Amino acid sequence: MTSAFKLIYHLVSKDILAELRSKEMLVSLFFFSLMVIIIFHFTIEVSGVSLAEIAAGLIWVAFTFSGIIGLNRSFSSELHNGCLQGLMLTPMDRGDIYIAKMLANTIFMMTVELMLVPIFTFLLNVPVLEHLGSLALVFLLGTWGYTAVGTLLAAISANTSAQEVMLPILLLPLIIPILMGAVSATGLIINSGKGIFDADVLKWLKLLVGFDIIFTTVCYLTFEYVIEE
Amino acid sequence: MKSDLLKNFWYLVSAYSAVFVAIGAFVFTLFQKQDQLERELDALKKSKS
Amino acid sequence: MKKDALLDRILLLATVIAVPISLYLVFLYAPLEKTMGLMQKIFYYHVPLAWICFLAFFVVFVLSIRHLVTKDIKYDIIAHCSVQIGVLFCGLVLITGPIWARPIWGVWWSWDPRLTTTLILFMMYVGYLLIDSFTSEEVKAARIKAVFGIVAFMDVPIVWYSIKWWRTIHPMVRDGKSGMNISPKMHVTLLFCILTFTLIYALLLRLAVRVRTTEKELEYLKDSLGEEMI
Repeated sequence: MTSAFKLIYHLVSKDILAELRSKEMLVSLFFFSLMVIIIFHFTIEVSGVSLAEIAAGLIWVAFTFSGIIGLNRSFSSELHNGCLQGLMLTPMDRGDIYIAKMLANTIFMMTVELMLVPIFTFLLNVPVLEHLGSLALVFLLGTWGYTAVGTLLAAISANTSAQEVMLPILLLPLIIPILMGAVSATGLIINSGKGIFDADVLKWLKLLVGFDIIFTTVCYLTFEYVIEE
Repeated sequence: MKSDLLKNFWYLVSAYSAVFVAIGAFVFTLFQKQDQLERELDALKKSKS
Repeated sequence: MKKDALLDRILLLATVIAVPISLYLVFLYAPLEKTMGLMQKIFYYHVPLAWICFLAFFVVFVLSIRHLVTKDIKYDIIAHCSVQIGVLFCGLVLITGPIWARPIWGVWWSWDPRLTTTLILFMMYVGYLLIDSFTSEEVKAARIKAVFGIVAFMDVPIVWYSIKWWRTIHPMVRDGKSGMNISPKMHVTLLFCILTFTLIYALLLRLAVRVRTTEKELEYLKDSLGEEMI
């Protein structure tokens, strides 16, 4: 059991170290999300809707789309360098490879999300910074569910000839519940100032937790079928 | 009132037609494909022998 | 083989008889509903389409698990065909629903839980079909489709509930098919239509599986001939 944890730890650190060296994913995801907000200003705000009102939704739109880029990249490097075959030769449970990938993706996404918090506060004039504690939990639960499904689907898409297009097509319908839960909770926190122990917020958090647990389990169990040769 | 009923009638007809046309078209393409495949299969088997 | 052919004939006969009977029941037997009038009759086809579509995807779920366990390609073939039919029926739900809604509520689309979940279902399983189109290796495609068939189906109830929860907080005027008075004659009609569509599903499934099996047969033959020539 402990060796499995060790292996997962090593895999995750490998991914994180690789990213820290080049920083390309973090930087591109950050600027992509920034661009989403700017585009929304020039489209939605220009057509008359105040962005501050839809801030919760906007935040998660930015996360969703940048997340897709991140997920795609997490598997494209493995495939192009034959790393995946190398990984499969290690005496590691295939499901553990999934866990490692998922953790790495979650960490990357959370990092980008937290980097964006001041931007949201600044550009959208919403009190994101003030509720950071509660929001961090919502971000975590939402991102976890997103990467749980996303990591599996990224592996599936990587097998197709239209990898970049397949992932959003497969992923977006499946994460609707995550979006509903995360956006509702985020909205309640920043618009009504409710904390995470508020009954309404808790309801949505329960949905997120349920989703996270169910899908981490299912994806953990089925991952090996996706990557075996 | 009668024109209302008549208009609704056309909605009803289009809904039911859509169902029949769609399923019918699906069945038709299945039969067509089956025919085409069987012809190809026969041709290949003959050329093999 | 003979038993198969007999089963097919019985199925075809049953379906061909059931469809006109269903139409008779819908238009001549079932009474006119008070609040919605003539439009309500779409319900008798719209609802069974939705149910059987869901059944089709449940079948995919079960067959996907069996495929992963047994690695038998036959389960993938049947599952794939079930997805095709499910997507077809899903599309029809999405067409008949708005046709119903427009004269009754004045809008084509309201994001009500049932129709919205059907739309998402449609997107999910179109994705399944696209996986097949875009994956070159057959064995691999079958496996990843099976995984997707399992994961997608597990999400369906969660999608449904999350939309429903949200709707209880933010209700919209035109929610659900409430306001319909159902008499026993209508019940009978609905049940018979569900039976009819189950038969249609079974028939379509057998036809589609036959086509896909023949397709695979042809492919294998071509491959083996290609190998001989080399």
